Amino acid sequence: MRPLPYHYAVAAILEQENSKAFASLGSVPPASSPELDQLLLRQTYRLDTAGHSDVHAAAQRAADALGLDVPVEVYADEGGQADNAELIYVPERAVLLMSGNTLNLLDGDELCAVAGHELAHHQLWGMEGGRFLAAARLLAAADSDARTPSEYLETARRFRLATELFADRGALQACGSLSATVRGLLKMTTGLAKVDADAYLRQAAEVDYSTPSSGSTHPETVLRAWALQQWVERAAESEADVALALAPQLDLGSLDLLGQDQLAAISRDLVVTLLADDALRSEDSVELAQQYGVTGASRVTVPRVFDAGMVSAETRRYLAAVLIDFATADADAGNDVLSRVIALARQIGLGRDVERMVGADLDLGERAQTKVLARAAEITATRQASGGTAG
Amino acid sequence: MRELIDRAVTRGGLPVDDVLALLLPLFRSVQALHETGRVAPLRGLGLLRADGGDPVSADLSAAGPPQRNRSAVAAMERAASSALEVRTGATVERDLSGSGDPQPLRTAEPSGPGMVIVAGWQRWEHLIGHHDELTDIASLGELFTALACGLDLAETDDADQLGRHHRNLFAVNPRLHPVLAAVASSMIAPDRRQRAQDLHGLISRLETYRDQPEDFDLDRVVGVAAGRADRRAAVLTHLRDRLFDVSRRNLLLHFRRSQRSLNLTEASVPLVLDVGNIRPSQLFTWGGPAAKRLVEGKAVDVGSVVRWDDAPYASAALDALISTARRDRAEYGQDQLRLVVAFLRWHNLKDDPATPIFSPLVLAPATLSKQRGVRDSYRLQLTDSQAEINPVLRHQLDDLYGFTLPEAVDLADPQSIESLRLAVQSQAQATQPGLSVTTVDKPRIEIVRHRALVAMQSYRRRRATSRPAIGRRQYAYSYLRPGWAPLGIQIFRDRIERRPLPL
Repeated sequence: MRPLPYHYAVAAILEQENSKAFASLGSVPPASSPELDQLLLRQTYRLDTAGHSDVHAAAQRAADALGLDVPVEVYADEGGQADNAELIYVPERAVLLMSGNTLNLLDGDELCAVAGHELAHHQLWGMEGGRFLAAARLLAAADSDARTPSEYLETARRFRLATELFADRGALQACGSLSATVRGLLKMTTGLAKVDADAYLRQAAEVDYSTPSSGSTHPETVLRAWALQQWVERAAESEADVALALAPQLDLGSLDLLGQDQLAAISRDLVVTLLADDALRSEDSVELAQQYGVTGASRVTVPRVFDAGMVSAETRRYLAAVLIDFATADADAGNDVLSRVIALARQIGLGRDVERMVGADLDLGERAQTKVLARAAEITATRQASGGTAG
Repeated sequence: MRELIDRAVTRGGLPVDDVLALLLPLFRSVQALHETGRVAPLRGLGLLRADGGDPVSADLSAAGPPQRNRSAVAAMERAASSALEVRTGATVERDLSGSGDPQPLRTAEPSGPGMVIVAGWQRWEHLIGHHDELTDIASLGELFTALACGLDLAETDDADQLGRHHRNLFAVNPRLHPVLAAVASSMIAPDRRQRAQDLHGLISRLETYRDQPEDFDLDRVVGVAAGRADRRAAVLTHLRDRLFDVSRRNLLLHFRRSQRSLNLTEASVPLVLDVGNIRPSQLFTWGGPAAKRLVEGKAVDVGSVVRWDDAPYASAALDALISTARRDRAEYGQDQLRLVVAFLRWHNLKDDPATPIFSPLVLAPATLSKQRGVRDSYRLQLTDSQAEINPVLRHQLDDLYGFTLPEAVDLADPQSIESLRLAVQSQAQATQPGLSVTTVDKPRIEIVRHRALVAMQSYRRRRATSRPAIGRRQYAYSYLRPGWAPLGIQIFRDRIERRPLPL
């Protein structure tokens, strides 16, 4: 089983940008400490192999299926908490902590799935020299500090979500049955003793994941069931769809590290596209381009078109602002520059956003505005004509 | 009428509300007489009736025109008048810190020879053949005082007692309401020039005595504190306690959110959509790592606990706190900047049991400073690990329930808040064993998040600007010249360029 692409991408960015912290967090796995043992002995009930052979058999079956060769210990929490299963990560053994009514609710297969979920966490933290554990710890540490920029918080959230999806796959691998895995998931989240996995999978298939409201993508049970089904049916091919369901849009309001990189690249491409027009390449606009990190004379041959499904409204407003930045960069340039920018905006699907900003933020008279828009239409027509002849 | 007087004497004074109900109708009818130019027959009790529980009434048919003997009155007043007014004609040595009664060394007749309170339910004016409206006021006043204090003015002893204490009726009846005592003293003043002149005003004061502010009366305090060893301490304590404002205006007692405070816990909540994603360690509460640093005397960067994005009002609130503290230091020599370590949520079971009262309990003196930079940073530091217990609350709890709380606690002791809780609880349980006081040290994330959300929304509403928010943040931009400040590059630098982790 391989981690999700998101795990790799985030770990790579974090390792590159915070190499020191990353190395220190990954290199020192927490040894099994006597304090932990004492705490467990004091506050939990240890399920003995002899007395609870069924539980241990299920857990061992999960460990074998995942290829995990560490001893598995199972504890039951005393505090009357909600149903939950939890892994306390210690490298040389797997400590499972069950709370609430978990052990009574689940049958053998489901217990195997739940144990498989938790053991998959153990597996992930041990992979590739613990780099995913280091990434998770770094993000968790950042999470607690209010100064942390929001993109790290969003990344932490999505990283946790991706980790849950990975662990769900582990659960599936452990018990070998999609239905048992989903039953286990449902029983844990609803607390019901009788659930219908097939009906739930049908329910999950009805949800529209292509346009979820941005931001509300916390690990919904239904999304997890859906992602698992995709994984069963299409294996690695499903990764792209699952990633899309996790982060539906490029939204300026909730950017993660990857989204930031993506939007930075988009911005620079846009700037390069702008400067490709000689009429727009003034001294001032070249200087402004440098502030966006565009220096060389790199050329974008085909400008990207932004459609509403991929890019959120706020992101579109930002991109429109970038265009207006360049339209107004040169104080001496006339309204012709503005018309050319509007023409470009229409071409790449940002026309409406740019026109709204022109109306709101530039002090143009009504007549001047009409003129500018008419000129932009002219330019578009000429371009299409020339493009038509070229093509 | 005699019956009524006897009852008042045996009971040591009737309840004032009874006295008012009995006498106010008489006061009004006398006022009506005065308006028609007549005076009431109030010499002696013969023409007064009080049957059963009915109000006292006078036989008004005997009312007649005033009798005047101006020359005799003038002679009396001239005898008493001088450039100086001798209020008590006695030399008194008073040791304020001692407890003994002041000993008059030489007693002289106060207010001249004739102007005194005389026995037999009559006024000195009656004796010299003078009877006018002012005489009636004194008659009514004596009647009121006699019933309220339980004096029979037919007796010379009682009349003498009233004569000695007519300025301080608390000496006769310490339970008298201060406003009523003041009104009665002014009515029975033997000197006609000091007597209250306006019967109508007196009636309305008596009717509304509960609504009127009390004046501070030293005699009363000293009288109450007669058992205590140190009069000076008693007076000072009373004076200090009078300064406590226990009304709803006092934020130290009835705390509510205002521009003069910032709730650091609420400002530290990340406003994520799913409450489940908020972990307690993200919130600033007492007992966390930031609190530990504070107790150790180190400065804490407020930015490490406050989320500026989610609490946009925080920086303005901190600026206001800093400038208020600076002004207070310049004007008063000290500031009132406090970090509230713990609040007490309690109920006033005696007056208003239903309303919860939310008061700061532990106040730690703190300093707040701003360091300018590309991003301003604020540093919070405790000046002392000794934190005071809110004095207003301490006074109020003492006043209401008789709880004694320590004046200060040492925050360096991790058990200090817990021992304070135990102190409150054990004192409360002394009289009501079922009562418990609990410490809430785990943040109730859902509630705190909701409050933070409300705070942010109200902030947004308050400063509704035309400037739109982009990605939950607002940018100061302009595309007009001069002052060209483009928006796109600002967003790029703020949101898209990667910033390092604050590790």
